[in-house]
Amino acid sequence: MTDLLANIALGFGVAVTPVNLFYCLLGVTLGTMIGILPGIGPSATVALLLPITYTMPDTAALIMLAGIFYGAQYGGSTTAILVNLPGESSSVVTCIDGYAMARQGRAGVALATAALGSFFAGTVATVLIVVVAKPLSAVALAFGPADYFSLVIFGLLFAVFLSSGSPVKAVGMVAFGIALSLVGIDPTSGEQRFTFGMAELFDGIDFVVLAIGLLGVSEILFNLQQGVERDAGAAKTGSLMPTRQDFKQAFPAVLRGTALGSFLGVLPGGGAIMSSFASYALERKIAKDPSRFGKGAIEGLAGPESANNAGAQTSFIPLLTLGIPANGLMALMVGAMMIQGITPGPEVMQSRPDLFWGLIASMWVGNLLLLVLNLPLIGIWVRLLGIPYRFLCPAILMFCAIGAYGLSYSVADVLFCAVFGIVGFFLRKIGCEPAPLVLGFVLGPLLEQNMRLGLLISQGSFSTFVTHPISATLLALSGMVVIMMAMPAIMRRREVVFQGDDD
Amino acid sequence: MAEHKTGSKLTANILSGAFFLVVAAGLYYGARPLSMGTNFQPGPGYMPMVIAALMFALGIALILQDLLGKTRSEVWEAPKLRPFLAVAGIVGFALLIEPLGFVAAAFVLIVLACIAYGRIRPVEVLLLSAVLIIACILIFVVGLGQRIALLP
Repeated sequence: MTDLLANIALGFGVAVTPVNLFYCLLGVTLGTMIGILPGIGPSATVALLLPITYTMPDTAALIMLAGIFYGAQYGGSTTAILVNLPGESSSVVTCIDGYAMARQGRAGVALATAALGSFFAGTVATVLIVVVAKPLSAVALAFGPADYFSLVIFGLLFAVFLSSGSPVKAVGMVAFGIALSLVGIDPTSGEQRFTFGMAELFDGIDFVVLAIGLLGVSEILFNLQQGVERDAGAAKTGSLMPTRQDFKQAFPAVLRGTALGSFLGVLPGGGAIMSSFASYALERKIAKDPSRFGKGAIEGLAGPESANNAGAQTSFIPLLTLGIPANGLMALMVGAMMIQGITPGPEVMQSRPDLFWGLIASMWVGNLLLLVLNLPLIGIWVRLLGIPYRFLCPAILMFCAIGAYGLSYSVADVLFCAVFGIVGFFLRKIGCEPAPLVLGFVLGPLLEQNMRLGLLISQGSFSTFVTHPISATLLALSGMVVIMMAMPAIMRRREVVFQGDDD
Repeated sequence: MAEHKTGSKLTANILSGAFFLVVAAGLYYGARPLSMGTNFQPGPGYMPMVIAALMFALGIALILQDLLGKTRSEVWEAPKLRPFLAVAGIVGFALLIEPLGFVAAAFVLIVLACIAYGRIRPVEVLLLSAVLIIACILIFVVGLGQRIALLP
């Protein structure tokens, strides 16, 4: 316990230094901004900012990028409530009851509920990370290569299971990601793989270039195809204070949302989006009068808003303790750590306690900053909605290009980025989401190295993957996930969770 | 989902399947010269072959799903060509940044991006270019100290 307090003290000591505080503020401000602006999401933003982090101190870089992620959850709900547009995919359900409240002249209450619920959830999630980080890391240190191999398999399959859309396509995209990660010189044998003799490819495909192209450029192409329409007819905010009645209805929903979000966030493939949908479904299910939902039920706003913020934060747990990113965005965080020369995993807590606890403490600090940023300053953010996409689109493209070029001043990198943009666009168009690809790309080398190492230790016997208890358990769980995916009945139910607003 | 009129059109699943098959074939050919190694010591060709086999199976499954199944996935519609000018802008930036410097390359990118969005208003494009180019110079060159040549 004293240990825990000492760690927290260390973390806050790091998080409130002026430099880190500045980058935390920068991160959450950027996060709120892109959360409010439809048409650019946190993944694309983090990908775009990766090149900039080269020159930053490592702790500050991670604090800023993390801030973008959970900051976007706050911003996304603002757009959803005021103009009925999900600024972020995780705030799709917020539109339903949040906008209904706004139309009843209670936008201020809705915004306050969302922000306070998110803050509460963020606080609980931060405490949760502090409490479970140490024991989980201890478990992770006992992992051998075979166990890691099985953990990656389980993580990838579970991520596929929870993703929306066709699981077959998602598995294929993971495989494509692994395939792309193989490009370059094989670290074990020193042989070139799929380099076509191009010197630019000897070190493999640069993760940042891949991420900018696949997430940033392809998103712009996709938006331009669909046409991003926006009515700046924002609702008036009105009073911010929830009534006693509001509070009584919202608080239990906040508690449930926080619990659900914290749990789903830890699971691979979970995180913010899944959490908010699941929470909305839960609230409607247990409500005494479900017909209120869709007409401004405050529980339908408070639950999902808390859940998405809790999920956004607890999805850092597998990354920080096991070194396994739970979703595409966490894969980008792995990229950011690699850039700084840090290999994510259980060792980080021992070797870099300042970074580890500083990052965690910064999440709470960031949530506090967000509360201040979002409630009193809401008027400023609303004005952002007036920026037309025809200005945003060239600006984002500009950042893509200069970001890819500035990595190593290589023209080839910018061209690769353009290619990935086109590939990513066509894949999205045929229903293949890029997120599993990014996950596969990051986890591919881990998968291959641990498989080779595991087989080497067991002298070529595949039984090593089932005789080690941890590995065997994880593989058994993976098997169950596959069976569940193959069962069409469950598939249909899964669909319902994602379209909870269809009646 | 079920809104297809003719039976011969390409669907999202068939195209995805075909894409996976192409990648699988590429992996197979690329990995052929690499050593598979043994189970005891898997070589550099081991993983590519496993992935190729997996993607081959998934590709076939996706194609069969639409050829044999009752409900088919969305029918492919050709995308509009104009938005691809945005990508042309990035390519233009890449090709011009070394010979002509950042300012010219960025201007070309912004103009192409504006055309990609839709109709352009010359004054607006000029103003936007000026703002964006100055902002980028301040952030990347002045702030982050990147060595990017501004002019030829």
